[in-house]
Amino acid sequence: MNLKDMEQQNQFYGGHKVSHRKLEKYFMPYIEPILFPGNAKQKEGLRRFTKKLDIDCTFESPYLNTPFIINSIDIFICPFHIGMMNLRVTLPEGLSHNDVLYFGDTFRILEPIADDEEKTKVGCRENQYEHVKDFIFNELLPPIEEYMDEEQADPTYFGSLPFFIDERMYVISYTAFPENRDISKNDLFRISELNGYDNDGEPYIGALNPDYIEKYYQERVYDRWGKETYYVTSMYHFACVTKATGKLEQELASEMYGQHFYTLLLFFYYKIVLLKLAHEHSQIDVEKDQSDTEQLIFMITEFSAKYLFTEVNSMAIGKELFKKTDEAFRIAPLYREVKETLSYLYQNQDKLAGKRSNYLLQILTIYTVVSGIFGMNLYIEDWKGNYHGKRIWITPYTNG
Amino acid sequence: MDVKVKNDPTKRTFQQFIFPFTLEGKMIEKFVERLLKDNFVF
Repeated sequence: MNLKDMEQQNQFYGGHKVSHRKLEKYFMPYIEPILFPGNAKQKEGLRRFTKKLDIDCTFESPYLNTPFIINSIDIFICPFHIGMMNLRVTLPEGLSHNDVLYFGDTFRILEPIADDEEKTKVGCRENQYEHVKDFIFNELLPPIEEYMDEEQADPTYFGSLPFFIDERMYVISYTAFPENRDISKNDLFRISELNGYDNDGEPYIGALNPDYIEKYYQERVYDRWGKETYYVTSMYHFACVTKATGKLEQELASEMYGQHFYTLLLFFYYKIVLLKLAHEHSQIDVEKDQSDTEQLIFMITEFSAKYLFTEVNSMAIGKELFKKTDEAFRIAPLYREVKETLSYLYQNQDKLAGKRSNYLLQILTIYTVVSGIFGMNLYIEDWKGNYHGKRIWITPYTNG
Repeated sequence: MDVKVKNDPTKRTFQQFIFPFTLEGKMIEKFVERLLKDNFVF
């Protein structure tokens, strides 16, 4: 995406508009070149490539059959060999809240793991797909297997990150409720955890203890505009739910495609890179893989210096809101782990360098001793006869 | 806990789905070319 191209502001968001000016203002100046690189060749940023689709699709599952629209698809090409795909989906107006949660929870499954997850079908342009992964890779994207990192690939799903949770997508959602609908703490818990229907097709909530739900609410819900608008963050889902109307409702929806999406994406990227760095450390044999160790030290240093910032948003609301995301994604503990890795790698490098110096010193000492011995003026009596009484002077030549 | 709320319509909903993957370093710029060729816009 190019912030200077104002025509893009309302091209990809299903009738919503994302203000590029507001996007620029919302982030700290040092974040802008990371999130919004000036052109497609700036490899230091998260380069976004978007395709407008607006195609009608159908979703069939045991407890929900519904049409939906794929508005557009993004591919982000990011530093440290990370790619990210983002799919924008609009659900029909009037769909029940349980259905919305169930859709999000089910559609995010790229590869079914449990038996009950295998009964989903996605229909698009006269084609039917049993797996969401097949739908995305056959219908929406060009063939991309050849560009994926084969070494990282899992046998079941190319491009898979072995250090990432599972083959489920992260969900960002916006839900506008009717004005008369109360939004309870139970609702917010279910939204956060994407609790749709259970195995019997009944709406469910993934916790029974009200104290637990209360604690969860305190940790995960941003309720500055409580009773009207809430934001919730979890490991699987970032959501905005609101009863706002008119221009405010429009504005909140646009923010979920704009400022909030980009902040969330940045934190998501941080998490992926930190996990990748921790994973690569576990794969390295520090004694043998010297160049890999140096590469990892370089990557950690570069990521810490150029990309990872604790202050991302320039506005107080953004800072408050995404403090919860930062905590949910465990960015600080992950970074501490990676910093410890860096110090461990440096210590190891020092030790190895020390060992190398010791070996060198030993070799030089041997040479010095030997050359010292042979450097002395020697007179060898046994050779006396052979050389007719001439003295033999030996002065060894050492190269080093 | 009883959460059997039926006929609880939403006014408007959209969702975005993100997943990460790893790219082969040498192929990244070719991937960019492929995306642009396939009508993705920067």
